[in-house]
Amino acid sequence: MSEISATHHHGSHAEGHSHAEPQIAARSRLLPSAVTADRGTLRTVSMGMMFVGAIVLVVLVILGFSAEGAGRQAIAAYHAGFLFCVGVALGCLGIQMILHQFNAGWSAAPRRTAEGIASLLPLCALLFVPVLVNALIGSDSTKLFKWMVPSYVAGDVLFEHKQGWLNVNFWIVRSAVYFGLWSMLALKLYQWSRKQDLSGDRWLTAKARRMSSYGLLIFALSSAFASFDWLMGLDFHWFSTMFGVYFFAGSVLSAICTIVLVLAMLSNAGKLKSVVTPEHFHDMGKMMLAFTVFWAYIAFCQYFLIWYSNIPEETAFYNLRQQGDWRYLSIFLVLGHFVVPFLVLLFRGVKRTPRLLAFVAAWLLIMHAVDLFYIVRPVIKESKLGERLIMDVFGIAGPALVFLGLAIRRVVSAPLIPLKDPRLHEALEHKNYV
Amino acid sequence: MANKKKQTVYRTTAGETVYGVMAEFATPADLYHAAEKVRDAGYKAWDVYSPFPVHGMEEAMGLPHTKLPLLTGIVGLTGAGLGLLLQYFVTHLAYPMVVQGKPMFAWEPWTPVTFEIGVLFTAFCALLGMFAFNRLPMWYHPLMKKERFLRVSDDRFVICIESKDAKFDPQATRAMLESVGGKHIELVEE
Amino acid sequence: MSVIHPDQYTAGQLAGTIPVDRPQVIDKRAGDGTLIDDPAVRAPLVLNDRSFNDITETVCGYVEKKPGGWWWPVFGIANMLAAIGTAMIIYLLITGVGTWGLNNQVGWAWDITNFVFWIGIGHAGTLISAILCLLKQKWRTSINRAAEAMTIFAVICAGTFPAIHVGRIWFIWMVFPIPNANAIWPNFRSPLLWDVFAVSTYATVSALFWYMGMIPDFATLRDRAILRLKKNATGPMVMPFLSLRVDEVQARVYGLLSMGWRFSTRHWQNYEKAYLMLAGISTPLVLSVHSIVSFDFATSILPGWHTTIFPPYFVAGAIFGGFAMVLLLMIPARELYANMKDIITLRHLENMAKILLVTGMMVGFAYAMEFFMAWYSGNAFEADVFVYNRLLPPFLAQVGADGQLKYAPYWWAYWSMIFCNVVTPQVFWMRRFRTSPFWIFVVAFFVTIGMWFERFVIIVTSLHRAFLPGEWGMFFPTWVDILTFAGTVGIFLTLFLLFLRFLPAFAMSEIKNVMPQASPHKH
Repeated sequence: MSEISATHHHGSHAEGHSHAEPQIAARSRLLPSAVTADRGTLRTVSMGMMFVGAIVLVVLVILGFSAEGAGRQAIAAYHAGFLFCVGVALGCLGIQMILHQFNAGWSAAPRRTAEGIASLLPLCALLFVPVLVNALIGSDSTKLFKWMVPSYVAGDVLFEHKQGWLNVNFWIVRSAVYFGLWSMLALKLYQWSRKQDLSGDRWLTAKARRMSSYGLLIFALSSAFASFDWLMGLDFHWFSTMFGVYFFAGSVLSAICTIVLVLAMLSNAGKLKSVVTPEHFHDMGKMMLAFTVFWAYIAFCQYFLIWYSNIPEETAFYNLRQQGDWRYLSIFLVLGHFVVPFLVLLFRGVKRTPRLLAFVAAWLLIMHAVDLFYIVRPVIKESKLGERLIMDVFGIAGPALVFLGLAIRRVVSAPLIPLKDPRLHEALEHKNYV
Repeated sequence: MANKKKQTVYRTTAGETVYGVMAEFATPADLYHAAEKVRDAGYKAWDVYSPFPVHGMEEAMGLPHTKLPLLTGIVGLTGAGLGLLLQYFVTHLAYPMVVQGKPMFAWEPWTPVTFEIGVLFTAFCALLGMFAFNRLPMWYHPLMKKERFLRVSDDRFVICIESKDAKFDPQATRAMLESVGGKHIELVEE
Repeated sequence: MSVIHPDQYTAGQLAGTIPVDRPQVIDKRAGDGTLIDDPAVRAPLVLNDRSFNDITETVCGYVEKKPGGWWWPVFGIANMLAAIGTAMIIYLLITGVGTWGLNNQVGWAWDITNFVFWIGIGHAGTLISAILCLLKQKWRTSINRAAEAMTIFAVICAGTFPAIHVGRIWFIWMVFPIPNANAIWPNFRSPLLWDVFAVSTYATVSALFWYMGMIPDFATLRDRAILRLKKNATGPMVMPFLSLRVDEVQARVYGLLSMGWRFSTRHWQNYEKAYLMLAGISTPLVLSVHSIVSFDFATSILPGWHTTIFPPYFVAGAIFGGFAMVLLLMIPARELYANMKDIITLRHLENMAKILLVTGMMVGFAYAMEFFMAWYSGNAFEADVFVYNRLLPPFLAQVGADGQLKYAPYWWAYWSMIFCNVVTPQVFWMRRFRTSPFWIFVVAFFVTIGMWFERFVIIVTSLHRAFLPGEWGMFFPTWVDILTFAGTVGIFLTLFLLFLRFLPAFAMSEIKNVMPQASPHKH
């Protein structure tokens, strides 16, 4: 740690002396070789990831058809994986709109990664297709959402009450609306940012900021209802007003982790030298810490209020997850998703060392997947935890690998930073003084 | 460490002990560059005074990172632990009683108070630790007698090199401060 | 590959190898010059090219010079209200909580409404000083001190209510884990006890944070008083019959409070770290405090109280109400005090108006979620609370199964809340309104009322009708209820006016630090 701060100190020392005009200093770092990726290697990596992901998915399908009752487990695991991808992309959309709203100058450097990944949201709709197919033509025993099975809900008073909301047609329409809204926001922001690369029109930044204002409103409502439809609806008796916020917290955390991971990979490949610096990693590390705590806060409050009031219709959710082996997963989640990363991220040295931070980010991403798995998978009561574990792993890894491969491909296909962002010089000068 | 072996006590003609030499600077930028030069000249017992914390000044002075965060973290966690212990003692040992049919050992209801006590300890440690590390309160200081120095709290910037520094020499240090752009150089008496 | 890729072209432009031209567009709607929309330009945080000395003179002037003619009348009115409030509290303690409008059905009403109202207002101070500090929002420096002061005073007002509502106040020590002859200990499984710890921790930590921020400014006031004394040892007296000079008192009192601060960089280093850590710890603290306040309600099984979104929703509401109060205080102050408009610019007000809009929407989001879940859960009691206790006005009354008209008796409170909290901030979508101090003041006023109604709606409408119609009743405040609340407004204003008079109302060292000339790389 001391070595790092020492070298860093000399760097900033030199800058302080030699450049009176910050913009000139900024430009000399933006050499084409630093801000554009070598398409070769990283593309190979991304193609490899997508290829492996596709194979994994094929194996999953084969496994799903191989045994009685395996189909529902396969689609459940896949659903968790799908939500992982959507969560990352959606979190990237949310985080860039929040940064726009804060007029955050430092964020210009890491923002392009978020823009690139969020612009994959239309493709996430394709990942939704298997879930849709399951809902439309799946047999009663393989349908993921029990409320879609007429024989299962016959005579259920609560279901009859909710039928206006919980019917397949409306559910599909809503899902389409969510993807439509998100795609519109994400693509607009991405296009404007790329347009700015060419034209240098700084008013596009103002335009993006303006759209982010109502964009966040759309985002908040749509992501909350999407979480109700895709996650909470798995147990259609259960409800929690907090659930949308829970999904938001996890998604944004996973988005920040993905951005850190991608940027660390790029800087490992020798890109973005003195463009995305330890100062930026430090701030992103702080955001990881903040959202780790925020996720824990939301998760705790939701659990705690249900535990304390002890009303049967609500405790069903946690009851299921505190019985059998699921209990160990609950404890693992508390430790792995909160306690350990929280303690590790408290250290300044971790946040300022891209490799260490990337390691924590990867860990948190896995934990986010576990969190989604923990919400989705226990509803498949016919299969205990650990049974056909390979399917659970493949179900999450398949879409996640395809998606992350696409994400890398998208990021390296454009300049790695918004080249003409009017605040870029602020971002390049960025320093944490305290 | 080196500056500790020699302790020459300088005195003014009036017989007062010399605390150091202070020089005034007009802007944060002047102060920053002067501080870098004083650091490079090898002085150890010196300090920079400014109405607000000038960004990057610790680096310009070559100060090591403060250990305050580590201390605060330890104290905060200890506080949270003590809070948990208090609740365990009260709920389980001193006054065990089944309330609302909740289990005796549940950690859930103890979370809020544990957290709050941890925060309380952290906050006190941050403030009191800051005082302790800075050796405050100190209501007397030689520099405070200097009228020019009192303007630091408004808009002046001062560097003071103390006489206990091994490299301190009344003439040479004064000349050095002058060469880095210091104005109104004064001798400070204890 | 001889063709240059467009990305490389632009990269080349940035590298300086290919020329760029960027026309400057000047925004004509810039108000006092700070309402710049241009993303390439950062609005100045302090207006009129002020020097460091100007800031010192301006801010210290509020303390050192006599205040304007408005101060004594306003202070007098605030004092009178505070006196009435104190009298009401004494009357309550002598007579008992029966002097309030509480009854068998509604056991918590104005007391806890006021408690949550005030504690919520306190949250803006910590938000500005802590969260905005972590987010590096430099504009916070102009309002953080006043907001922190407001936090302390609001928490004082808040703490009064739970203390006096216990009835037999001489047993209040029982909330603390103190060994006693009866070997009775507090119940750590009760949300009310968590409240005790949360609110007292919050008050303490906010006070520490506030005090710590003021140390350098106390030192400035001290040094100025010493310099005045050195120049002229025969300044004005504190009072005609006391042989104490004002400057002497200032030098000693501010000197004592400043702990001998001497602006050393070695000190600043620890100071800044400690400040950052306090900010870091205050952020989860502020979230926890209002969450714990929300636990008072949400851990119950009462429809209307028990819902999982309560913790973040309460926090958002607290920030919302708190920012409204900061605006209510600072907009008149910047009109009344000299040069305050240089420090609190229109940009600052606009930013706060935007925060009102955002937090107002968060609160609206929570209202919507509660409504949706009241229906979606299929819980008839929950739906009843929302529709027949809160929503339905008499003119939309429905005929119930028993042939009686069903409507919500407190519909006016509910709709006041919706109007004030969700509807009025929407005007801030329009630039004209969010840059006009007058309109911001008006909306902030509505929001303050709305946030009081929110707590009233949550507490009273949920309580006044329990599960059986036999347990239905209404609550009406008595004059003691009303005057006690008015009294806390008086206490709050009195303390705030004293703060403006005697303490540094702006964080001078922090403002100086965000001024352009503070950069060590500026030439």
